[in-house]
Amino acid sequence: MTDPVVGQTAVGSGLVVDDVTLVINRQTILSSVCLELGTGRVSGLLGPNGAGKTSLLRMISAQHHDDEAYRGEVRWQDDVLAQMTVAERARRVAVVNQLNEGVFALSLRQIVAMGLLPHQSLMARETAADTARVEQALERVGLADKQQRRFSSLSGGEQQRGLIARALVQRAELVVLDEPVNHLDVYYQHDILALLAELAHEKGMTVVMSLHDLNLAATYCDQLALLHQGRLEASGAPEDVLQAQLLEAVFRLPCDVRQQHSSTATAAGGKSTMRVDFHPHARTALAGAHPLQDKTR
Amino acid sequence: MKPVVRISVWWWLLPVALCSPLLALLFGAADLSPNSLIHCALGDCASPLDSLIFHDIRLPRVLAGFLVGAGLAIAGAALQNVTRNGLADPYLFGVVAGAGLGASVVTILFEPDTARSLGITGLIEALGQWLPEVMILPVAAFFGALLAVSLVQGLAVSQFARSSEQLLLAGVAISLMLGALTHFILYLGEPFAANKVMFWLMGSLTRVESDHLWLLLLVVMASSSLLWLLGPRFDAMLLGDDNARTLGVEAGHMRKLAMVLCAAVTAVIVAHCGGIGFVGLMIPHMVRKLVGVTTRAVVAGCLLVGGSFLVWVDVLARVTVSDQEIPIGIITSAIGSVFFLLMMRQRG
Repeated sequence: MTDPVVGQTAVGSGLVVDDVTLVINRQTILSSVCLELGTGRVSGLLGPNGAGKTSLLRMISAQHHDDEAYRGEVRWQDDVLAQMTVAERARRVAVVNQLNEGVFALSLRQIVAMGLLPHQSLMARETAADTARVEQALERVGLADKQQRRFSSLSGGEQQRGLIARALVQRAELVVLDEPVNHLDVYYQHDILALLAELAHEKGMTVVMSLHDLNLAATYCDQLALLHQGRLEASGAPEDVLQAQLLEAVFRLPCDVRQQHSSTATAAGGKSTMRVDFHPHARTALAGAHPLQDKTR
Repeated sequence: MKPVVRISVWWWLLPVALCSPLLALLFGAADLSPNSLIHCALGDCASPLDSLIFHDIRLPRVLAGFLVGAGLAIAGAALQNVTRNGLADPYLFGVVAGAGLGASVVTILFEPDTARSLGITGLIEALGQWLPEVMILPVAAFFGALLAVSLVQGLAVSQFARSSEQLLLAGVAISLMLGALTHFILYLGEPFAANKVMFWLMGSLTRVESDHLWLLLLVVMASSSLLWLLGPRFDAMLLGDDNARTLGVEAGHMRKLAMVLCAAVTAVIVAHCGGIGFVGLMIPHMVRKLVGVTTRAVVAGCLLVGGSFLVWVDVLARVTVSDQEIPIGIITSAIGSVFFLLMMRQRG
């Protein structure tokens, strides 16, 4: 098992999760998690359902509620995120959540333009520069021709692209995404992750997200962290984290891990990526396996 | 993003909103010809009678109609935005009933006989020194309305009113509860005072005087300006509280502010005109169809459409039965309930 990377407190370091413990309803959701994720990189949080991925992301984006007791802190560029004002945090950290857009239908353009909010004063109107910024962001994610469409009428992948455009307009240094490719078809899974990897590498944006698909994570992430029952089991480069023995213990399914040269791995720049295969039919060897934890693709 | 379609809507909304009050000045029990109307408007009335009708009756009445309609519409729009519920309305959610309760309590307590029997004459006199008389009723109504919005706010964030239908039912329950309290107080109170309070239950513009207009104008303009300024932040709240917070918007504070504004606007309206129902439900709904869902557009649209709407409803109230007036609340409720049913059918 790899040891978790414990806080080397370099000046101006990226995202540092410093000994975070989270308790909700007397249940320990996260337990002494220490993690350091680099600036301008794509990081993926992995782990089975209930491992604490979403909770850790919510701690990172300071979205936890007041009634949740926690210890430790999360720092972004040496500033404690929980101590920033809501407005200050919004200028630096963008969050891409599933939108349950309610009764009133907003257009894609209107939702993307909301990224301007953290930078606007009360009296401000949209300036020409703001408009250009929104246009550029929509252009960048390839949705310029759909900006007047109702957001809810877009496909799941387009909605996700739209929210990433909003994060671009928000000029956030750090973008936090909770399972951005859930419910998306294979095309959009690759499309969204490739877009995020490009943005991280070209604009120096730091991307932190949770993912279920280990092979997608291996292809597009520079750094991985594996959570299990609220603990950090491993973190580091994909080849350090994706180890058969470790994955078998966490996902309770036999698996094998290979190095392979992938043609789809645009983000990896043609270098070799890891390939994880689970073998659910061989699981009798592992006691107490969960039948729904089938990760075979 | 200023599509041509949107601009053309404003092009006809504005003239309609400007012309409605002017045309409405022509209607009423007494005859006032367009000619003498124009003379009066230019400050040159033909006769003292014309002047009296124009300045003391017709003009305040029409202005009150416009302000009340505009105010109820923005109160409804604000409530709908922050509860994310298209069926929210100051009337259905008990804000009107709360304001009515506050106003009733004060009206009954301030009756000299009641005050004497309760031994609070001194207190009332002291209060009278603090507060101009014209403010007493609106302030009392405001406290009643605040009680109602706090109850609604509590429900909106609680577990058992998660769906918009549940929240609506809870709002109606609050409305009925506060209404029952009002009725109980009226039942206990002086028959004469009760009579005075009756018009709150009906809703009417007959009692509005010029003094009241200033307060109404002030509250409606201040509330709509605030809503307009904070418009983009209210828009972010349409995405849910958590999402709004990630965009730098303190959703909790914003919701409280909108609720207080809604209470203030409803209170001044109820204090002088009583419970005029369904305007806050219908107008924002129509306005969203016309100008889109962003708060700034909705607020501007509500001022124009809500104002014009109530001006015409008031004309209807004045001319339908000759020599009599139908309380305006009866007409808006009649229109509104049908509208509400149509809305429900559309949603289903």
